[in-house]
Amino acid sequence: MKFNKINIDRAPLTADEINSAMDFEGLINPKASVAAKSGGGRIIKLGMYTLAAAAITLGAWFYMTKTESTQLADAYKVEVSSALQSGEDTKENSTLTPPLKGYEKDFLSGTVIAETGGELTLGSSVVSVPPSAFVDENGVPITGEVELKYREFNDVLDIFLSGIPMEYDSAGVKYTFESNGMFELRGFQESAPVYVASDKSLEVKMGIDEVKSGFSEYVLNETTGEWIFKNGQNYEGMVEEELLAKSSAPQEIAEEGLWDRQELPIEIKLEELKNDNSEFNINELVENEPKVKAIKEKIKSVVKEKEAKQEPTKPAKANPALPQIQIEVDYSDFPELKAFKNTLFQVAESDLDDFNMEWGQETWTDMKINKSTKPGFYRLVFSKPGRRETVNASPVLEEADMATAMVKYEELFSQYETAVDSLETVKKQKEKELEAARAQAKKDARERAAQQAELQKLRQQQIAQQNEDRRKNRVRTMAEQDELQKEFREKQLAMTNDQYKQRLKGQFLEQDMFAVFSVNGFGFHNCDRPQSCPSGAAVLASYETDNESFLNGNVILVEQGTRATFKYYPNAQLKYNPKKDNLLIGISSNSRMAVLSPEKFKEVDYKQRKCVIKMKECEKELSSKEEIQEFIKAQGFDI
Amino acid sequence: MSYHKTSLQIQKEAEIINAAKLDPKAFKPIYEEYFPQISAFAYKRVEDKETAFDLAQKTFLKALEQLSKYEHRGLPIGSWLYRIAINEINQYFRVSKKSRTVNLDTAEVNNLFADVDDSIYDEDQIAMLKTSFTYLSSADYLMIEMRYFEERPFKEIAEILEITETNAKVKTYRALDKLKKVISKLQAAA
Repeated sequence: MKFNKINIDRAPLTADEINSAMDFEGLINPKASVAAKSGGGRIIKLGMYTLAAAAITLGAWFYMTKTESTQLADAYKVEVSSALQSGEDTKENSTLTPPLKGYEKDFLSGTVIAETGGELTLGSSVVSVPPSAFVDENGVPITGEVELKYREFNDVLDIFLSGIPMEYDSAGVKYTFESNGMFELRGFQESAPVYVASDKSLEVKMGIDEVKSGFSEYVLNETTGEWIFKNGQNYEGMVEEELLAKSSAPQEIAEEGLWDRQELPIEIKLEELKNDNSEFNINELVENEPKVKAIKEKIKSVVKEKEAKQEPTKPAKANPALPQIQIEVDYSDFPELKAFKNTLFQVAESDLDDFNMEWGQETWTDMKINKSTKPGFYRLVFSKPGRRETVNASPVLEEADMATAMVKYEELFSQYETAVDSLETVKKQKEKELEAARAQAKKDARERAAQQAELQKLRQQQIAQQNEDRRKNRVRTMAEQDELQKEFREKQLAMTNDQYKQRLKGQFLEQDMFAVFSVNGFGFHNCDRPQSCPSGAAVLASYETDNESFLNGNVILVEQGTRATFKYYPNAQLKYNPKKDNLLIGISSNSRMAVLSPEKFKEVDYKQRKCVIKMKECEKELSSKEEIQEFIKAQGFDI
Repeated sequence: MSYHKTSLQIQKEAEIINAAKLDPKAFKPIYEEYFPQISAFAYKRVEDKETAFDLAQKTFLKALEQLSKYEHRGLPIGSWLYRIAINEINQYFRVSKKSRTVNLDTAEVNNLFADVDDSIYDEDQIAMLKTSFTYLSSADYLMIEMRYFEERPFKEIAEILEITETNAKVKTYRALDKLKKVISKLQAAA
């Protein structure tokens, strides 16, 4: 990493500075605008309007274009429901990009009476429909029979073959979804799609193998291909952790194999000597002495007062070769500019590349002047929603204003010098006092530390004596023995209980467990957890088979035990966990499946920067998901 | 700089976020509470105040744009905002090609040296610290920065970086270990 410098004890931001920088209205107000015009010559005459935090006034040409709050809010509204209401068949959905044709999963279907609603069991799931839950495309309630079509994507292969996008973008960070159950649900009446009424929702209880924590419910926006978070996943049925928590070992198991209490140590541990008299602790004590602290505070306040004195800025003449901006300054906020009259702000030569004369033609919502970190310069900030431009500029005057300004400057500078000299004298005096106070405090602290060390030494001698006594007399009272036995037995029982729970773990998987979805629009619903790419190994990889030098498009990485498909592209970093069983799946140009088995995967030398991965292409076209499963299983991966 | 919240406060934040998803104006209490923290966070890493405020404002702009994707997982929204701020700061250094600034106070340096080395902080060690940081990766430096210079609990570091608390501890101690090795080499060479 490159570091510019280390600042020590730099003053933090003050509350006033933070308050003036806060601009919530500017953040959410995308339509308000300030118009500015450019003037003649090289001077841009900017619009003037008072803005509180800026402490400058700009006058003229300010007008709002659109301010209706509803319009402003719309800019950030998320239209979730409209994208999800569609009942159209997914086979025409451009969001899905199946890697192979002909493997679309079949729908299960059933009918309900729209007026009464009902419950449908479709595969391992139960769909509950409330009365009057459907409307047509115009929002008119539907009556009569409605056909519900439902299909689940239960495993990695289902997900891969469906072509459903499984990437998830969270604040610019890309994740891949790990799924714990995904389904598609559609509604039709006489082949025409129906919609879920806006005030109704269907409930889908999807049978799942395992309850996992950290999963949430997402719905697919089929227009954009993005998954939208709905809420944390609800489950029904007892989860393993709850069952385990309620379990305790039966008495006979708990007492099985209890062993005799071992002799417990009876020695009291000697305390370690503390280095209270070390130079470091002494210095710390000295610095915390009230008198020392008080003098330091005084010096700090004098320094602060001195720094707060504003050295008047010496008038400088405008350079005709540089652009200048005319701004009326409120001198109460910039006292150092009191010598100036008719101030122009001349763009810094170093910032010419950043500055554009056309800014004068643009519409800005806000303009601020702050002191720049560049000495003698000010930072002009022009902003509007989505854009912020800054430029450093120095105050200058035109020839005609210079003589008057110099007279005023001399007077102000003399006042400034007198004030600063007086504060410097006070500071030096206080520094001498601080030195004396520190010396005294150090002397006192050393004396105290020596006393403490003596006391601690005595305490250690006492403990050593007690230990010696105990060793001589090992006979304990009956009460002591009973207490120790009880404590020891409790510890043993707790350990036995833990072991029992470990034994039980995994035995609850066959219980009925459901992920419960609240469906207020047809489409794809998923119980997911965003996952980062696997880590542990990374290599720049390209892919080939016996028949072609690279595979079209991407490959998919599948980790044993994780229901996620991580997508990687050729000649990009392939990241994986070398401690797990991994499988790579790709599709060759003639639409045949190619894989890299877990065994071959282990041979990939990820310590090299790049490598070519040779995948095994299936010799024939596979006609069903079962055949694909067989092919992958033959490579040593249980998918 | 910690943003610790009670579960009641976290619940309240979740309600504000839900309202802000429909009307961004409802985001104001979050902005008012976290803007000072995020500005201070940025100011620890950059040279001037204006840039710190710019970065804080950009963080909130990004947060508002991404609000529809925000998932409430029982954590304070601060963890998400800090994550965006880290991205914005890294982006700033990438685009501007500027070198990083480190801003420390004496207590923080003492705090770090107490874990790295028993010797006492003095002026020379600041120079050593500056050199040793250049040997750390940005990920390692971030761990040191959050743990020692911002004194964040591991739980909070874990939330911000979306890792487990154990992982946060492991990463921090690994970074500290690297720093120790670098410092001892520098001391030997001096």
